Amino acid sequence: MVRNSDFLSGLLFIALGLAFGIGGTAYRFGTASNMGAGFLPVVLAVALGLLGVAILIKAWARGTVVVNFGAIRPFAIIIGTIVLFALLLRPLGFAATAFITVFAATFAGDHVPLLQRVLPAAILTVLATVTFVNLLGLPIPVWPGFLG
Amino acid sequence: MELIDHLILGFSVAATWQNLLYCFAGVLMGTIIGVLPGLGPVTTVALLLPITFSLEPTSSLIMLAGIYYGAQYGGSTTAILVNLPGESSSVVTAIDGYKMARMGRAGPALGIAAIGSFIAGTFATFVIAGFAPILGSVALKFGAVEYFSLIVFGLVASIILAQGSVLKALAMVVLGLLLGLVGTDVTSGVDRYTLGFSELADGIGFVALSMALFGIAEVVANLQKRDDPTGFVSEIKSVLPTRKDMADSAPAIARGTVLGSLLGLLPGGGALLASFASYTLERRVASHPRTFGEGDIRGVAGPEAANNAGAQTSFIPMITLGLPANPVMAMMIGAMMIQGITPGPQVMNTQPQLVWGLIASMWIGNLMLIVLNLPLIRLWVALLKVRYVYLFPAIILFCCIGAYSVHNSSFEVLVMAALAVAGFLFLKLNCEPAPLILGFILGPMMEENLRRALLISRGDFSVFVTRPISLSFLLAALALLVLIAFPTVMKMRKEAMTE
Repeated sequence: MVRNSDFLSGLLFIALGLAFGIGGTAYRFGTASNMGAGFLPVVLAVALGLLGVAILIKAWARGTVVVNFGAIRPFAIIIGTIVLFALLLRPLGFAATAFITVFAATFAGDHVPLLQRVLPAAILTVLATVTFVNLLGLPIPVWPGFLG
Repeated sequence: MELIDHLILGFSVAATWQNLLYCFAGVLMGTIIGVLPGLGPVTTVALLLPITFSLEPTSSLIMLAGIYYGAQYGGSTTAILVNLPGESSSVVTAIDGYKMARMGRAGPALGIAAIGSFIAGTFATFVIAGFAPILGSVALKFGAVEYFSLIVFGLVASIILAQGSVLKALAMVVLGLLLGLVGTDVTSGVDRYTLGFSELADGIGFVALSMALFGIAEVVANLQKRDDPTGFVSEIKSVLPTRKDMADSAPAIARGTVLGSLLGLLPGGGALLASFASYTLERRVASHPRTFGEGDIRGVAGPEAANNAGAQTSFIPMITLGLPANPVMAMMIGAMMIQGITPGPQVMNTQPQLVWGLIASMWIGNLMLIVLNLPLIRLWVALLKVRYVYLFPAIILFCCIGAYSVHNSSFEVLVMAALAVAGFLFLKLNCEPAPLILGFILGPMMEENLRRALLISRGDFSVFVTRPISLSFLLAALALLVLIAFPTVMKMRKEAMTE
């Protein structure tokens, strides 16, 4: 199995080209003088797919360089942290969410003592609350709704 | 003199207490964030972008511009002191700058970088003031046909500077254009690719996209390397260059300034090309070129001046044509649109106070940079020692808050998470995000102009080659493509990138 970065990007672009292309057929294509909503999307999607094919062919000729995706843990934790922020902000308010976000994010890095996770989280929470809510007036409650 | 009138108008806008304050805040914050190891100008601007949303349009653009030069200078500081160029444009500075730092001459290296940048910035401000109105009035005559061809040219030009495969960069441009089309089609009112989410009717959020691609994906990649990017930090004694340093650097600064001002005009060019070109030029004209790479001050002075001049003149296509020359300019345009201003040649006439205020504030910003940096350099050195363990959770939090604050919606944060997954994939597959961002910004403009051009020509595609201005843009784009595909150019490009 050829697994180099060009090969995989070729596949990715073909897949995206197909997805955009098939999706684009749902909109009116129209004519050149009276373009529908689907005209440019379909044209671009075809171009993307063709570029993907070209990248794939070039990569096939070149042989194997294995793509190293690296450790999956930091990646999963960071993405999870962002989702957590989105889900917690409304119910918990800004302060608690900021604290949990920073605290959770530290687990994506090297192992450090608990205090080195809690303390930066606390400091950043205070700084961010003052900056964004008090100074810049971000319209979001600082404290959880069920306390007020 | 029209030029003088314009500058007077500009300074009257830029020198109000309020705008001076925002300019100062931008330069200060840009430098602080830009100095932090691993954060380049693009990331810095992406991170700080949401802070400017609550301001009125002129102040917000002045602040963003300040953030940009601050971040550029901060990046040079990091390159010189710890050999960690945050962005490709400071790679060159790191070559001789870091050597100077190891020789105990970090101070003069930083000093000359600041002085060179200021001189270049002053010159570039005048270039913009003189050149922008001319280009702007030419651009006003552009119809949809010319605009479409110009956009094609700009997109092709952006590929040259993408690292790695040309085909992949092209694919990223096309993908960016497609992503730019997500949302309600203005002409027909049809929702495209919204997957049923009403929140996507306005399109994919620009802030969410740029933070995902330039902020979060970067953090994940750094964490995977598992090495703390902080390291040896040089001590600083005096930042003042000696008289000999100044004499050595003066011609290099002059050449770098002119070279940078010219190259900055090219779409896709800007700061990176300028600093490489200046370094090559200095090495060629020097009488003792062997000292280059061994801590030669000219190797810092020339590229730093060129890089700053280029960064500044890259505002010209943005101001006069509404076309971004690099991802930072794409963010400026994104910010303008969020403020309700449609970028394009008409802005110079409808909003002169905005354009000229911005131009004048560039010079003021450069002055602030030098006043700020020479005394505060010890503070920056302290910031350089911040460990990544403490830094990255803060970046993640800022990105979340930034994405949320655009529409006060958590949906935007989730979009950012999804785009960050894509950004991570692109990073691992060596697909550069910069062409995608430019495509994303230009997608809707391209569609609108294509539509109008073909509506007027009744579907006849030949208008693009029968109108002379349009034809020359297309020929230039074609020439660039041929040039890139040509093996010797490819080799030069590769050398410049790996140097």
